[in-house]
Amino acid sequence: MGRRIDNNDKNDNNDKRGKILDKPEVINFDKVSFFYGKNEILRDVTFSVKKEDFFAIIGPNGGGKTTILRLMLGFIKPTSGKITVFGEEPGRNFTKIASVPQFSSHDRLFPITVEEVVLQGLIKSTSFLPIYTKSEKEKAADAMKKLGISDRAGARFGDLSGGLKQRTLIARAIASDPEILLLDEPVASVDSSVEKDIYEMLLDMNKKITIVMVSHDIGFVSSFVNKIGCVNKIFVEHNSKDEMCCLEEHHAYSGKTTMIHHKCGI
Amino acid sequence: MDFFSALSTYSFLQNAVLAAIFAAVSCGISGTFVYVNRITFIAGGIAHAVLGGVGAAVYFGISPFAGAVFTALLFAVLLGIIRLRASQHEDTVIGAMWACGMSAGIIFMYLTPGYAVNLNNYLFGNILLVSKGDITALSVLAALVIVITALFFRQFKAVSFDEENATLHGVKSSLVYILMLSVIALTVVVLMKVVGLILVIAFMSLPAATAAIFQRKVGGIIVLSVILSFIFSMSGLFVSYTWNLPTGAVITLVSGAVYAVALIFSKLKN
Repeated sequence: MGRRIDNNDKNDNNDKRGKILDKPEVINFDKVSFFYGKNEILRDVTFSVKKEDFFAIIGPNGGGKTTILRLMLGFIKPTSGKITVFGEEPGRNFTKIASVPQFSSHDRLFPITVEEVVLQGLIKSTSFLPIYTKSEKEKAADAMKKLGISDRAGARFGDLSGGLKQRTLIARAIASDPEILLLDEPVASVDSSVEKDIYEMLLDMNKKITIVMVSHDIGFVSSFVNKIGCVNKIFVEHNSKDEMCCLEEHHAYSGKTTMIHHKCGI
Repeated sequence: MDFFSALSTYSFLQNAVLAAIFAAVSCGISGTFVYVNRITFIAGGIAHAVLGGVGAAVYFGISPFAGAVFTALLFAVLLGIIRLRASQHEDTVIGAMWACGMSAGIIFMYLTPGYAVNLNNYLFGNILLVSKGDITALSVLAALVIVITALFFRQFKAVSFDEENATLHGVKSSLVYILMLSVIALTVVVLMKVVGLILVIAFMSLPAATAAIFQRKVGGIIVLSVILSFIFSMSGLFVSYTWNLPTGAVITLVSGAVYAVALIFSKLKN
Protein backbone atom coordinates (compact mmCIF):
# COMPACT_ATOMS: atom_id res chain seq x y z
CA MET A 1 0.00 0.00 0.00
CA GLY A 2 2.95 2.27 0.75
CA ARG A 3 3.83 1.99 -2.92
CA ARG A 4 1.05 4.38 -3.81
CA ILE A 5 2.79 7.19 -2.05
CA ASP A 6 6.27 6.88 -3.60
CA ASN A 7 7.34 8.82 -6.63
CA ASN A 8 7.03 6.08 -9.24
CA ASP A 9 3.44 5.82 -8.51
CA LYS A 10 2.90 9.51 -8.73
CA ASN A 11 4.07 9.06 -12.29
CA ASP A 12 1.57 6.26 -12.77
CA ASN A 13 -1.10 8.57 -11.60
CA ASN A 14 0.05 11.19 -14.06
CA ASP A 15 -0.01 8.65 -16.87
CA LYS A 16 -3.48 7.66 -15.87
CA ARG A 17 -4.62 11.25 -15.93
CA GLY A 18 -3.25 11.57 -19.40
CA LYS A 19 -5.37 8.66 -20.55
CA ILE A 20 -8.44 9.87 -18.77
CA LEU A 21 -8.53 13.01 -20.87
CA ASP A 22 -9.93 10.93 -23.74
CA LYS A 23 -12.54 9.14 -21.69
CA PRO A 24 -16.21 9.98 -22.05
CA GLU A 25 -18.01 12.11 -19.51
CA VAL A 26 -20.33 10.16 -17.20
CA ILE A 27 -21.55 12.82 -14.77
CA ASN A 28 -21.92 16.48 -15.54
CA PHE A 29 -22.87 19.38 -13.26
CA ASP A 30 -23.60 22.64 -15.03
CA LYS A 31 -24.01 25.71 -12.82
CA VAL A 32 -25.90 23.73 -10.21
CA SER A 33 -27.30 25.57 -7.21
CA PHE A 34 -29.25 24.03 -4.38
CA PHE A 35 -31.28 25.65 -1.64
CA TYR A 36 -32.59 23.79 1.35
CA GLY A 37 -35.51 26.01 2.27
CA LYS A 38 -33.96 29.46 2.33
CA ASN A 39 -30.44 28.18 3.00
CA GLU A 40 -28.10 28.20 0.08
CA ILE A 41 -26.16 24.93 0.16
CA LEU A 42 -24.49 24.98 -3.25
CA ARG A 43 -23.80 27.87 -5.60
CA ASP A 44 -23.03 27.50 -9.32
CA VAL A 45 -21.27 24.16 -9.03
CA THR A 46 -19.80 23.07 -12.34
CA PHE A 47 -17.68 19.97 -12.93
CA SER A 48 -17.65 16.74 -14.80
CA VAL A 49 -16.64 13.21 -13.94
CA LYS A 50 -15.15 11.08 -16.68
CA LYS A 51 -15.22 7.34 -17.07
CA GLU A 52 -12.85 5.61 -14.65
CA ASP A 53 -12.09 8.76 -12.70
CA PHE A 54 -11.39 8.41 -9.01
CA PHE A 55 -12.92 11.65 -7.87
CA ALA A 56 -12.81 12.89 -4.29
CA ILE A 57 -15.03 15.67 -3.02
CA ILE A 58 -13.54 17.23 0.08
CA GLY A 59 -15.03 19.83 2.34
CA PRO A 60 -16.13 20.66 5.85
CA ASN A 61 -19.26 19.27 7.47
CA GLY A 62 -22.25 21.17 6.18
CA GLY A 63 -20.28 22.30 3.13
CA GLY A 64 -22.56 20.49 0.67
CA LYS A 65 -20.60 17.29 -0.07
CA THR A 66 -23.41 14.88 0.67
CA THR A 67 -25.83 17.19 -1.15
CA ILE A 68 -23.74 16.71 -4.30
CA LEU A 69 -24.00 12.92 -3.93
CA ARG A 70 -27.75 13.10 -3.35
CA LEU A 71 -28.14 15.28 -6.44
CA MET A 72 -26.18 12.72 -8.49
CA LEU A 73 -28.50 9.97 -7.22
CA GLY A 74 -31.59 12.00 -8.06
CA PHE A 75 -32.89 11.96 -4.46
CA ILE A 76 -33.10 15.75 -4.61
CA LYS A 77 -33.45 18.11 -7.56
CA PRO A 78 -31.24 21.15 -8.12
CA THR A 79 -32.81 24.56 -7.50
CA SER A 80 -31.17 25.75 -10.69
CA GLY A 81 -28.66 24.40 -13.17
CA LYS A 82 -28.51 21.04 -14.93
CA ILE A 83 -27.19 17.64 -13.92
CA THR A 84 -26.76 14.71 -16.25
CA VAL A 85 -25.71 11.16 -15.48
CA PHE A 86 -24.89 9.21 -18.64
CA GLY A 87 -26.59 12.03 -20.52
CA GLU A 88 -29.85 11.53 -18.62
CA GLU A 89 -31.53 13.13 -15.66
CA PRO A 90 -30.28 11.56 -12.37
CA GLY A 91 -32.43 8.85 -10.78
CA ARG A 92 -33.13 7.02 -14.03
CA ASN A 93 -30.06 4.83 -14.29
CA PHE A 94 -31.10 2.11 -11.90
CA THR A 95 -28.39 -0.32 -12.90
CA LYS A 96 -25.48 1.92 -13.79
CA ILE A 97 -25.02 3.83 -10.56
CA ALA A 98 -24.59 2.43 -7.05
CA SER A 99 -24.17 4.14 -3.74
CA VAL A 100 -22.49 3.32 -0.45
CA PRO A 101 -24.19 5.32 2.32
CA GLN A 102 -22.75 5.87 5.77
CA PHE A 103 -23.37 2.64 7.63
CA SER A 104 -24.30 4.53 10.78
CA SER A 105 -27.56 5.43 9.04
CA HIS A 106 -28.86 1.87 9.42
CA ASP A 107 -30.78 0.48 12.36
CA ARG A 108 -28.27 -1.60 14.35
CA LEU A 109 -31.00 -3.97 15.52
CA PHE A 110 -32.51 -4.65 12.10
CA PRO A 111 -32.80 -8.41 11.64
CA ILE A 112 -30.82 -8.93 8.45
CA THR A 113 -27.78 -11.02 7.53
CA VAL A 114 -24.75 -9.85 5.58
CA GLU A 115 -25.82 -11.94 2.58
CA GLU A 116 -29.30 -10.41 2.62
CA VAL A 117 -27.85 -6.89 2.71
CA VAL A 118 -25.68 -7.69 -0.31
CA LEU A 119 -28.67 -9.24 -2.12
CA GLN A 120 -30.53 -5.95 -1.65
CA GLY A 121 -28.05 -4.48 -4.11
CA LEU A 122 -29.80 -6.56 -6.77
CA ILE A 123 -33.39 -5.63 -5.99
CA LYS A 124 -35.58 -4.36 -8.83
CA SER A 125 -39.09 -3.00 -9.07
CA THR A 126 -40.00 -6.43 -10.45
CA SER A 127 -38.54 -8.45 -7.55
CA PHE A 128 -41.60 -10.36 -6.41
CA LEU A 129 -42.03 -13.31 -4.01
CA PRO A 130 -39.57 -14.17 -1.24
CA ILE A 131 -37.12 -15.89 -3.57
CA TYR A 132 -33.70 -15.08 -5.01
CA THR A 133 -32.68 -16.38 -8.41
CA LYS A 134 -29.57 -18.49 -8.83
CA SER A 135 -27.80 -15.69 -10.67
CA GLU A 136 -28.65 -13.22 -7.87
CA LYS A 137 -27.20 -15.62 -5.30
CA GLU A 138 -24.06 -16.01 -7.43
CA LYS A 139 -23.60 -12.27 -7.93
CA ALA A 140 -23.96 -11.69 -4.19
CA ALA A 141 -21.48 -14.47 -3.43
CA ASP A 142 -19.08 -12.96 -5.94
CA ALA A 143 -19.33 -9.49 -4.42
CA MET A 144 -18.84 -10.87 -0.89
CA LYS A 145 -15.77 -12.76 -2.11
CA LYS A 146 -14.28 -9.61 -3.62
CA LEU A 147 -14.69 -7.78 -0.33
CA GLY A 148 -13.40 -10.73 1.71
CA ILE A 149 -16.57 -11.19 3.73
CA SER A 150 -17.76 -14.58 2.41
CA ASP A 151 -17.25 -16.19 5.82
CA ARG A 152 -19.58 -13.61 7.38
CA ALA A 153 -22.48 -14.25 4.98
CA GLY A 154 -24.76 -15.53 7.74
CA ALA A 155 -23.76 -13.01 10.40
CA ARG A 156 -26.18 -10.34 11.55
CA PHE A 157 -25.29 -7.05 9.88
CA GLY A 158 -25.81 -5.02 13.06
CA ASP A 159 -23.31 -7.17 14.98
CA LEU A 160 -20.39 -6.42 12.62
CA SER A 161 -17.52 -4.02 13.26
CA GLY A 162 -17.48 -0.71 11.38
CA GLY A 163 -14.96 -1.96 8.83
CA LEU A 164 -16.95 -5.09 8.04
CA LYS A 165 -20.19 -3.10 7.77
CA GLN A 166 -18.49 -0.80 5.30
CA ARG A 167 -17.28 -3.79 3.28
CA THR A 168 -20.78 -5.24 3.29
CA LEU A 169 -22.23 -2.00 1.94
CA ILE A 170 -19.54 -1.79 -0.73
CA ALA A 171 -20.30 -5.42 -1.67
CA ARG A 172 -23.99 -4.51 -1.93
CA ALA A 173 -23.13 -1.60 -4.19
CA ILE A 174 -20.91 -3.58 -6.57
CA ALA A 175 -23.16 -6.66 -6.66
CA SER A 176 -25.19 -5.11 -9.47
CA ASP A 177 -22.02 -4.49 -11.49
CA PRO A 178 -22.45 -0.69 -11.66
CA GLU A 179 -20.43 1.68 -13.81
CA ILE A 180 -20.28 4.41 -11.16
CA LEU A 181 -19.78 3.93 -7.45
CA LEU A 182 -20.61 6.78 -5.07
CA LEU A 183 -19.29 6.64 -1.51
CA ASP A 184 -20.23 8.88 1.39
CA GLU A 185 -17.35 9.10 3.89
CA PRO A 186 -16.30 5.47 3.36
CA VAL A 187 -13.62 5.59 6.05
CA ALA A 188 -15.38 7.64 8.69
CA SER A 189 -15.49 5.64 11.93
CA VAL A 190 -13.07 2.89 10.86
CA ASP A 191 -9.51 2.66 12.14
CA SER A 192 -6.55 3.55 9.96
CA SER A 193 -5.53 0.00 8.97
CA VAL A 194 -9.08 -0.67 7.77
CA GLU A 195 -8.98 2.69 6.03
CA LYS A 196 -5.92 1.57 4.04
CA ASP A 197 -7.57 -1.74 3.12
CA ILE A 198 -10.71 -0.03 1.93
CA TYR A 199 -8.79 2.48 -0.20
CA GLU A 200 -6.70 -0.31 -1.72
CA MET A 201 -9.84 -2.20 -2.63
CA LEU A 202 -11.42 0.88 -4.14
CA LEU A 203 -8.29 1.55 -6.15
CA ASP A 204 -8.46 -1.98 -7.52
CA MET A 205 -12.14 -1.56 -8.44
CA ASN A 206 -11.31 1.75 -10.08
CA LYS A 207 -9.74 -0.18 -12.98
CA LYS A 208 -13.28 -0.80 -14.18
CA ILE A 209 -15.56 1.48 -12.17
CA THR A 210 -15.77 5.25 -11.94
CA ILE A 211 -15.60 6.26 -8.30
CA VAL A 212 -16.89 9.44 -6.68
CA MET A 213 -16.14 9.74 -3.01
CA VAL A 214 -16.99 12.30 -0.38
CA SER A 215 -14.71 12.91 2.57
CA HIS A 216 -14.14 15.57 5.17
CA ASP A 217 -10.55 14.44 5.57
CA ILE A 218 -7.95 14.75 2.86
CA GLY A 219 -5.70 12.16 4.60
CA PHE A 220 -4.86 9.24 2.34
CA VAL A 221 -7.26 10.37 -0.31
CA SER A 222 -4.85 12.54 -2.26
CA SER A 223 -2.53 9.65 -3.07
CA PHE A 224 -5.28 7.54 -4.60
CA VAL A 225 -7.50 9.85 -6.51
CA ASN A 226 -6.92 11.54 -9.83
CA LYS A 227 -9.23 14.49 -9.23
CA ILE A 228 -10.14 16.44 -6.14
CA GLY A 229 -12.95 18.92 -5.77
CA CYS A 230 -13.22 21.16 -2.74
CA VAL A 231 -16.70 22.23 -1.79
CA ASN A 232 -17.96 24.70 0.73
CA LYS A 233 -21.04 26.12 -0.96
CA ILE A 234 -18.85 26.92 -3.97
CA PHE A 235 -16.86 24.26 -5.76
CA VAL A 236 -13.22 24.31 -6.87
CA GLU A 237 -11.61 21.48 -8.77
CA HIS A 238 -7.94 20.43 -8.59
CA ASN A 239 -5.59 17.85 -9.93
CA SER A 240 -4.31 15.68 -7.12
CA LYS A 241 -0.76 16.93 -7.56
CA ASP A 242 -2.03 20.18 -6.10
CA GLU A 243 -3.04 18.46 -2.93
CA MET A 244 -1.19 21.00 -0.86
CA CYS A 245 -3.33 23.89 -1.89
CA CYS A 246 -6.38 21.85 -1.10
CA LEU A 247 -4.88 21.30 2.32
CA GLU A 248 -4.48 24.99 2.78
CA GLU A 249 -8.06 25.50 1.85
CA HIS A 250 -8.94 22.77 4.20
CA HIS A 251 -7.50 24.84 7.01
CA ALA A 252 -9.31 27.85 5.75
CA TYR A 253 -12.57 25.94 6.28
CA SER A 254 -12.13 26.05 10.01
CA GLY A 255 -12.54 29.81 9.86
CA LYS A 256 -16.01 31.27 9.82
CA THR A 257 -15.74 32.56 6.25
CA THR A 258 -17.74 30.73 3.60
CA MET A 259 -15.58 31.91 0.72
CA ILE A 260 -12.67 29.69 -0.19
CA HIS A 261 -9.36 31.48 -0.42
CA HIS A 262 -8.06 29.95 -3.58
CA LYS A 263 -4.31 29.73 -3.52
CA CYS A 264 -3.55 27.44 -6.44
CA GLY A 265 -3.93 29.98 -9.15
CA ILE A 266 -5.53 27.45 -11.53
CA MET B 1 -67.85 -28.51 30.59
CA ASP B 2 -64.12 -28.03 30.14
CA PHE B 3 -62.60 -26.00 27.31
CA PHE B 4 -61.69 -28.87 25.03
CA SER B 5 -64.99 -30.73 25.12
CA ALA B 6 -66.75 -27.37 24.70
CA LEU B 7 -64.59 -26.77 21.65
CA SER B 8 -65.92 -29.88 19.94
CA THR B 9 -69.50 -29.01 20.88
CA TYR B 10 -69.99 -25.27 20.37
CA SER B 11 -69.68 -23.67 16.99
CA PHE B 12 -69.02 -20.25 18.55
CA LEU B 13 -65.80 -21.67 20.04
CA GLN B 14 -64.84 -23.21 16.73
CA ASN B 15 -65.39 -19.84 15.09
CA ALA B 16 -63.23 -18.29 17.78
CA VAL B 17 -60.40 -20.71 17.00
CA LEU B 18 -60.66 -19.93 13.29
CA ALA B 19 -60.60 -16.21 14.08
CA ALA B 20 -57.53 -16.78 16.23
CA ILE B 21 -55.79 -18.53 13.33
CA PHE B 22 -56.54 -15.67 10.91
CA ALA B 23 -55.49 -13.14 13.53
CA ALA B 24 -52.25 -15.01 14.24
CA VAL B 25 -51.25 -15.19 10.58
CA SER B 26 -52.01 -11.53 9.80
CA CYS B 27 -50.58 -10.33 13.07
CA GLY B 28 -47.36 -12.35 12.73
CA ILE B 29 -46.76 -10.89 9.27
CA SER B 30 -47.76 -7.27 9.91
CA GLY B 31 -46.36 -7.18 13.43
CA THR B 32 -42.94 -8.10 12.08
CA PHE B 33 -42.94 -5.14 9.70
CA VAL B 34 -44.23 -2.88 12.48
CA TYR B 35 -41.35 -4.12 14.62
CA VAL B 36 -38.53 -3.76 12.07
CA ASN B 37 -39.74 -0.33 10.94
CA ARG B 38 -40.34 0.81 14.52
CA ILE B 39 -43.73 2.21 13.57
CA THR B 40 -45.83 1.09 16.54
CA PHE B 41 -47.08 4.66 16.74
CA ILE B 42 -48.33 4.62 13.14
CA ALA B 43 -49.99 1.21 13.67
CA GLY B 44 -51.59 2.55 16.85
CA GLY B 45 -52.78 5.62 14.98
CA ILE B 46 -54.48 3.48 12.33
CA ALA B 47 -56.04 1.22 14.97
CA HIS B 48 -57.56 4.02 17.01
CA ALA B 49 -58.68 6.06 14.04
CA VAL B 50 -60.62 3.00 12.78
CA LEU B 51 -63.13 3.58 15.58
CA GLY B 52 -64.24 6.72 13.74
CA GLY B 53 -65.08 4.67 10.66
CA VAL B 54 -66.81 2.01 12.68
CA GLY B 55 -68.85 4.64 14.56
CA ALA B 56 -69.90 6.35 11.35
CA ALA B 57 -70.86 3.00 9.80
CA VAL B 58 -72.95 2.05 12.84
CA TYR B 59 -74.65 5.47 12.86
CA PHE B 60 -75.52 5.36 9.17
CA GLY B 61 -76.55 1.71 9.37
CA ILE B 62 -73.90 0.27 7.08
CA SER B 63 -71.70 -2.69 7.94
CA PRO B 64 -69.22 -1.68 10.69
CA PHE B 65 -66.80 -4.11 9.12
CA ALA B 66 -66.85 -2.24 5.80
CA GLY B 67 -66.47 1.03 7.71
CA ALA B 68 -63.44 -0.37 9.52
CA VAL B 69 -61.74 -1.61 6.34
CA PHE B 70 -62.36 1.69 4.56
CA THR B 71 -61.09 3.87 7.43
CA ALA B 72 -58.08 1.65 8.10
CA LEU B 73 -56.96 1.86 4.47
CA LEU B 74 -57.68 5.59 4.30
CA PHE B 75 -55.54 6.26 7.36
CA ALA B 76 -52.79 3.94 6.12
CA VAL B 77 -52.50 6.01 2.95
CA LEU B 78 -52.75 9.35 4.81
CA LEU B 79 -50.18 8.37 7.44
CA GLY B 80 -47.91 6.98 4.71
CA ILE B 81 -48.00 10.30 2.89
CA ILE B 82 -47.43 12.25 6.12
CA ARG B 83 -44.45 10.14 7.03
CA LEU B 84 -42.93 10.40 3.55
CA ARG B 85 -43.14 14.16 3.73
CA ALA B 86 -41.67 13.96 7.20
CA SER B 87 -41.53 17.23 9.00
CA GLN B 88 -40.87 17.80 12.67
CA HIS B 89 -44.61 17.77 13.29
CA GLU B 90 -45.13 14.22 12.04
CA ASP B 91 -45.73 12.88 15.54
CA THR B 92 -48.23 15.59 16.37
CA VAL B 93 -50.19 14.99 13.18
CA ILE B 94 -50.35 11.23 13.77
CA GLY B 95 -51.33 11.81 17.39
CA ALA B 96 -54.08 14.20 16.32
CA MET B 97 -55.49 11.74 13.76
CA TRP B 98 -55.32 9.01 16.38
CA ALA B 99 -57.29 10.97 18.96
CA CYS B 100 -59.71 12.68 16.58
CA GLY B 101 -60.59 9.45 14.77
CA MET B 102 -61.34 7.84 18.08
CA SER B 103 -63.37 10.80 19.32
CA ALA B 104 -65.47 10.79 16.16
CA GLY B 105 -66.18 7.12 16.75
CA ILE B 106 -67.25 7.73 20.33
CA ILE B 107 -69.60 10.56 19.32
CA PHE B 108 -71.16 8.56 16.47
CA MET B 109 -71.76 5.63 18.76
CA TYR B 110 -73.18 7.89 21.46
CA LEU B 111 -75.69 9.19 18.94
CA THR B 112 -76.67 5.64 17.99
CA PRO B 113 -79.10 3.80 20.30
CA GLY B 114 -77.46 0.91 22.13
CA TYR B 115 -74.02 2.46 21.70
CA ALA B 116 -72.47 1.17 24.92
CA VAL B 117 -72.47 -2.50 23.91
CA ASN B 118 -71.10 -1.72 20.47
CA LEU B 119 -68.37 0.53 21.76
CA ASN B 120 -67.08 -2.07 24.19
CA ASN B 121 -67.01 -4.79 21.56
CA TYR B 122 -64.93 -2.71 19.18
CA LEU B 123 -62.62 -1.32 21.83
CA PHE B 124 -61.95 -4.61 23.59
CA GLY B 125 -62.99 -7.18 21.00
CA ASN B 126 -64.96 -10.29 21.68
CA ILE B 127 -63.63 -13.33 19.94
CA LEU B 128 -66.51 -15.37 21.33
CA LEU B 129 -69.00 -13.31 19.32
CA VAL B 130 -67.37 -13.98 15.95
CA SER B 131 -70.08 -15.13 13.52
CA LYS B 132 -69.93 -17.33 10.41
CA GLY B 133 -70.11 -14.21 8.26
CA ASP B 134 -67.25 -12.64 10.20
CA ILE B 135 -65.15 -15.73 9.59
CA THR B 136 -65.58 -15.39 5.83
CA ALA B 137 -64.59 -11.73 5.96
CA LEU B 138 -61.61 -12.40 8.24
CA SER B 139 -60.39 -15.18 5.96
CA VAL B 140 -60.49 -12.84 2.96
CA LEU B 141 -58.51 -10.17 4.83
CA ALA B 142 -55.95 -12.69 6.10
CA ALA B 143 -55.57 -14.08 2.58
CA LEU B 144 -54.95 -10.55 1.25
CA VAL B 145 -52.31 -9.96 3.93
CA ILE B 146 -50.56 -13.22 2.98
CA VAL B 147 -50.70 -12.74 -0.79
CA ILE B 148 -49.61 -9.09 -0.81
CA THR B 149 -46.77 -9.73 1.62
CA ALA B 150 -45.58 -12.81 -0.28
CA LEU B 151 -45.55 -10.89 -3.55
CA PHE B 152 -43.81 -7.83 -2.14
CA PHE B 153 -41.73 -9.54 0.53
CA ARG B 154 -38.33 -8.51 -0.89
CA GLN B 155 -39.51 -4.98 -1.59
CA PHE B 156 -41.04 -4.60 1.89
CA LYS B 157 -37.75 -5.78 3.40
CA ALA B 158 -35.63 -3.54 1.19
CA VAL B 159 -37.74 -0.45 1.89
CA SER B 160 -37.75 -1.21 5.62
CA PHE B 161 -33.98 -1.61 5.85
CA ASP B 162 -32.78 1.05 3.44
CA GLU B 163 -35.40 2.98 1.54
CA GLU B 164 -32.88 5.01 -0.47
CA ASN B 165 -31.08 1.93 -1.70
CA ALA B 166 -34.38 0.46 -2.83
CA THR B 167 -35.32 3.69 -4.62
CA LEU B 168 -31.93 3.79 -6.29
CA HIS B 169 -32.57 0.35 -7.76
CA GLY B 170 -35.90 1.40 -9.22
CA VAL B 171 -38.23 0.21 -6.47
CA LYS B 172 -41.20 2.57 -6.05
CA SER B 173 -40.40 2.98 -2.38
CA SER B 174 -43.20 5.39 -1.48
CA LEU B 175 -45.87 3.16 -3.00
CA VAL B 176 -44.35 0.04 -1.48
CA TYR B 177 -44.31 1.75 1.92
CA ILE B 178 -47.97 2.74 1.62
CA LEU B 179 -48.82 -0.80 0.52
CA MET B 180 -47.02 -2.10 3.61
CA LEU B 181 -49.07 0.24 5.82
CA SER B 182 -52.21 -1.00 4.05
CA VAL B 183 -51.35 -4.58 4.96
CA ILE B 184 -50.94 -3.40 8.55
CA ALA B 185 -54.31 -1.62 8.28
CA LEU B 186 -56.07 -4.81 7.12
CA THR B 187 -54.52 -6.62 10.07
CA VAL B 188 -55.88 -3.97 12.44
CA VAL B 189 -59.39 -4.83 11.23
CA VAL B 190 -58.82 -8.56 11.76
CA LEU B 191 -57.47 -7.92 15.25
CA MET B 192 -60.37 -5.60 16.09
CA LYS B 193 -62.58 -8.70 16.31
CA VAL B 194 -60.11 -10.66 18.38
CA VAL B 195 -58.48 -8.31 20.89
CA GLY B 196 -60.21 -5.01 20.17
CA LEU B 197 -58.80 -1.73 18.90
CA ILE B 198 -57.26 -0.61 22.19
CA LEU B 199 -55.12 -3.73 22.45
CA VAL B 200 -54.13 -3.95 18.79
CA ILE B 201 -50.77 -2.26 19.43
CA ALA B 202 -49.81 -4.75 22.12
CA PHE B 203 -50.86 -7.74 20.07
CA MET B 204 -49.09 -6.47 16.98
CA SER B 205 -45.82 -5.67 18.69
CA LEU B 206 -45.34 -8.32 21.40
CA PRO B 207 -45.21 -11.55 19.33
CA ALA B 208 -42.81 -10.01 16.79
CA ALA B 209 -40.63 -8.51 19.52
CA THR B 210 -40.51 -11.91 21.25
CA ALA B 211 -39.70 -13.71 17.99
CA ALA B 212 -36.96 -11.19 17.17
CA ILE B 213 -35.08 -12.29 20.27
CA PHE B 214 -34.60 -15.72 18.71
CA GLN B 215 -34.46 -15.05 14.95
CA ARG B 216 -32.00 -13.07 12.85
CA LYS B 217 -34.00 -12.79 9.64
CA VAL B 218 -37.30 -11.08 8.83
CA GLY B 219 -38.71 -14.33 7.40
CA GLY B 220 -37.81 -16.24 10.55
CA ILE B 221 -39.41 -13.61 12.77
CA ILE B 222 -42.63 -13.82 10.74
CA VAL B 223 -42.85 -17.61 11.04
CA LEU B 224 -42.10 -17.62 14.76
CA SER B 225 -44.43 -14.74 15.55
CA VAL B 226 -47.31 -16.39 13.66
CA ILE B 227 -46.78 -19.45 15.88
CA LEU B 228 -46.48 -17.33 19.03
CA SER B 229 -49.56 -15.25 18.15
CA PHE B 230 -51.57 -18.43 17.70
CA ILE B 231 -50.38 -19.85 21.03
CA PHE B 232 -51.09 -16.53 22.76
CA SER B 233 -54.60 -16.26 21.38
CA MET B 234 -55.42 -19.90 22.12
CA SER B 235 -54.20 -19.62 25.68
CA GLY B 236 -56.14 -16.38 26.03
CA LEU B 237 -59.24 -18.13 24.75
CA PHE B 238 -58.68 -21.03 27.14
CA VAL B 239 -58.16 -18.81 30.18
CA SER B 240 -61.07 -16.53 29.43
CA TYR B 241 -63.41 -19.45 28.76
CA THR B 242 -62.38 -21.29 31.91
CA TRP B 243 -62.46 -18.30 34.29
CA ASN B 244 -64.87 -16.08 32.37
CA LEU B 245 -62.46 -13.17 31.85
CA PRO B 246 -62.31 -10.66 28.92
CA THR B 247 -60.44 -12.46 26.12
CA GLY B 248 -58.54 -9.53 24.60
CA ALA B 249 -57.08 -8.47 27.92
CA VAL B 250 -56.07 -12.04 28.79
CA ILE B 251 -54.37 -12.51 25.39
CA THR B 252 -52.46 -9.27 25.84
CA LEU B 253 -51.27 -10.19 29.35
CA VAL B 254 -50.18 -13.65 28.20
CA SER B 255 -48.18 -12.06 25.33
CA GLY B 256 -46.64 -9.52 27.67
CA ALA B 257 -45.65 -12.18 30.20
CA VAL B 258 -44.02 -14.41 27.56
CA TYR B 259 -42.17 -11.40 26.10
CA ALA B 260 -40.84 -10.47 29.54
CA VAL B 261 -39.70 -14.04 30.23
CA ALA B 262 -38.02 -14.30 26.79
CA LEU B 263 -36.27 -10.97 27.32
CA ILE B 264 -34.98 -11.95 30.77
CA PHE B 265 -33.95 -15.36 29.42
CA SER B 266 -31.95 -13.82 26.57
CA LYS B 267 -30.28 -11.28 28.86
CA LEU B 268 -29.25 -14.02 31.28
CA LYS B 269 -27.93 -16.12 28.43
CA ASN B 270 -25.62 -13.31 27.34
